[in-house]
Amino acid sequence: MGVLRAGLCPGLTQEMGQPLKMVDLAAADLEEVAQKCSLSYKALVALRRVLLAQFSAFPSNGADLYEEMKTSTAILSTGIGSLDKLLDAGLYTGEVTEIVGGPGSGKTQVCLCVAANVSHGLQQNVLYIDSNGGLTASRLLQLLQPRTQDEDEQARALQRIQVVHAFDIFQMLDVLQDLRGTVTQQVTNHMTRDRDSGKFKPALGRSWSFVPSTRILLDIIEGTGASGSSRRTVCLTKSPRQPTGFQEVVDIGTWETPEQSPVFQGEQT
Amino acid sequence: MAETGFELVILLPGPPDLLLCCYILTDISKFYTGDILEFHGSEGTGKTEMLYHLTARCILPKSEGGLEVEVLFIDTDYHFDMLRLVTILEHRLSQSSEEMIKYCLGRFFLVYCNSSTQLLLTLYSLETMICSHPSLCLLIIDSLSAFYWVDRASGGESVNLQESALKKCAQFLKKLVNEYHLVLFATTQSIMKKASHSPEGPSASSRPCDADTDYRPYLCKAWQQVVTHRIFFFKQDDSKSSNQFSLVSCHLKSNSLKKHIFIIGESGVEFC
Repeated sequence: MGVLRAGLCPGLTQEMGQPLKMVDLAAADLEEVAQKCSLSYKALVALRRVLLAQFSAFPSNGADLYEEMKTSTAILSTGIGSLDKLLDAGLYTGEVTEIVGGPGSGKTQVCLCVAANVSHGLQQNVLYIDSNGGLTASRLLQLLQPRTQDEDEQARALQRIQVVHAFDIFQMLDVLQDLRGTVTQQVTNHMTRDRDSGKFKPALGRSWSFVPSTRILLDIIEGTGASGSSRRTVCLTKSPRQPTGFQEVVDIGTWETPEQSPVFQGEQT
Repeated sequence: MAETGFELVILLPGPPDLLLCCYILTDISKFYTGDILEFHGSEGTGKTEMLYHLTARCILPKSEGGLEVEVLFIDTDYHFDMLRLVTILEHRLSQSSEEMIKYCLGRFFLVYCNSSTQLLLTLYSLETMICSHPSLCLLIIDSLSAFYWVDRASGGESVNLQESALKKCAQFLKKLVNEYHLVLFATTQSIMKKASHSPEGPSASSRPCDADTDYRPYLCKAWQQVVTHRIFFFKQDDSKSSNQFSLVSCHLKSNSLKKHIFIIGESGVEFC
């Protein structure tokens, strides 16, 4: 979007004398523009009206949005009790939740556990975009086995998880462009060291940091003995509805038996 | 058609008491219709929460402490959380029934924009709507800096091209705010870090407003010129006050600074 070309919208059937940008047409003095290009003043006025009607966004009323929100919002439990407590019942649809942690802190394990819970416990579809090869189907099966012994059920749950490998940003954009419907998004991110203060901070910089609504930080508990310990601390560092700074401990090896955590769902049609 | 709308505005009793609303915001300075305020801060500092607080104050009925005016919210980064706004309204209403909430929300309008070109075109289309809603006094843009990197990438080498859409937006916003007696609140994210070792030019550091913050102006000059007040948001870093925030309000013409502390609870922003 930006430059006007023939066929872009009704009324624009011939090329302009010089390439004209939409912003220029919207904001300019049309008499001046009419002198420079091949269209008449009247045609330009009509064109601008069509342009505004076709490309501008339309406002929605709050009461309508409220109705829509009630029917389309859901909170998906992660299957891990302490994590649900931190996230205020679970992952909210329409939001991005970011999981940050250093290497080996358990980010992929959390993703796998959530995927298994959503596909088996909540019977919903999961799109798992793997960009670092961390997903193994055998681990998913391992996570499903404590929930159900029935092999058919396990197979159905696995079928609801669609895996896409995207090893560069363009593949990822392609996959995301095709996604439709109400979803909740969960992303993982690495940690880097801040240049000035030496403290650890999430990678990808400030511009990315504004995008997720919720951020949780996974950390290895220091001094718990052998490096093979599977206990991690989870800390809430950004949230739109809870005070931050709360911490919980999880075990990424066994994930305490998934409790029947109450799943809140808006009235879904 | 537009002229009739303008006459109607003059005949109505003057612009609603938005001064009271903003008086509560900073507790000292008054804002007037025609003011353009920029909320600036890093992520998680309470800017969007403050916008919900303002919105709630505007759309609540007078009997509940509101102003009964309409609000137009332009969301550019798809962060708007209706659930949160409804929670805040429920806490502030003495009887929070469904009809009451929907009645309040009837004064709220939301538009999503996904590029600076679309933002400009939308502002032009919204002029008719603003004209026909005389009780619409608050315009919110969250956030104005969302397209910064996309614009820079698509403008190529020329700074003029990169900034052209936002520049026109800033000029048109000034016109809208003056002509239709609105107050504009726009948030900008602090995505640039002020280099700690190299001194900025004399004009930037001479203002007390910018001196003790990490502020580095990066949006186009046209926007810097239309802003009348810049409000910086900070999060207190101590471990015991995990939900305590502060804001510094800076009136650009008079160079005066005011600081305030607030907390964010279930019912939204509460000044301390």
